[in-house]
Amino acid sequence: MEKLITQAKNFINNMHEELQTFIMTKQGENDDFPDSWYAIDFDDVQNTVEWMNQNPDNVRPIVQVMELDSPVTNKTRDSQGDTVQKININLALYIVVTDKVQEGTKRKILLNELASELKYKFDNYYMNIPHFRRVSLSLPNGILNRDSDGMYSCRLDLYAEIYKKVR
Amino acid sequence: MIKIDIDIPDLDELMIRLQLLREQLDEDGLKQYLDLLMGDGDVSVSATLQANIYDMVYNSPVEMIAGNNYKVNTEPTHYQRTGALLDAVRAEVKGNNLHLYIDDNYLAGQESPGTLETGTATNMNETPYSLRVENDFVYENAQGVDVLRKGSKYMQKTYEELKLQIMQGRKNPKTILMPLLGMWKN
Repeated sequence: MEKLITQAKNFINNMHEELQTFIMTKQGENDDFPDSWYAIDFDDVQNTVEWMNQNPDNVRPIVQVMELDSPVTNKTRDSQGDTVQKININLALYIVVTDKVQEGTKRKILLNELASELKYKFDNYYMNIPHFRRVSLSLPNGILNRDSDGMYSCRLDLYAEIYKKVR
Repeated sequence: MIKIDIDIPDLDELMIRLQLLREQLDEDGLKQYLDLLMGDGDVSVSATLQANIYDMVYNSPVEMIAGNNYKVNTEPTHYQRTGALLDAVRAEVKGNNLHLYIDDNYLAGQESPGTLETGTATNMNETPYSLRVENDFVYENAQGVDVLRKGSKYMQKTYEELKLQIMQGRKNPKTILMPLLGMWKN
């Protein structure tokens, strides 16, 4: 798939839509990342957890995507002669699981498996994200434990580049 | 032995110009390197600080000692409500320096009473909010008991991480020479 140059004024919304579709859709035969929910902030995660508590058949891991500082580089011209700017997208992906996800499995083992599967998905299928170039996803370096409500999470750092047409 | 004298009247000026050019290249190269550190996927200074604030301040238990009692506040939303610390992260290149800091002026306008805990703390203004969260901080609560809030050390961790990433060569300064070296390829 040829990578696109975004023309959207609000590329952040577009970015979330593309990521959500990518994460929640099976990308190929070897994509073993399970069905999950997509969240953009704390409240989104909290609401999803409360909803899952009332709908036990829909218990899944949650992938929360947080936007970090994403510098925009100077204007340049692409091969078509259009003026574009490169945006260095920095994101933090949190995989969040409650104690109901794969009950009986140790949280640390479960999160490590999920992180590994998510990284494989990005490493091998990132071409399916229309605007994302030079994509890299780290592995987590620890597990975050929110004792009070039985929620565990781990963080993966995602980097990508987007080219934005200058109007 | 044959000695040849060559008269180059502008040699001194040429040497001065070369020296100035070298200094200019050093300065430009450093600036370009600092720009790369701002965020190109290998090292991203402000993104690293933001992620650590999110993990260590908003998403981790807070240890407290109230009088003689030790407690851990595991309520995940303890510091979530404001989000001000996250919004106050600033990174900029000025001259030959990269500045990564928390904008305390911005925070001063965001802070509301009861950010730490409802109490009678009179020493809130002595230390900026960013440092009260980073380091251990003592204040007096509503019962007149001194409370120690253990520091989250988000800045310290960020500094250690960035130092390690650069020392490990995740962003090699030679990267900025690659376009130049590319001229001799093929």
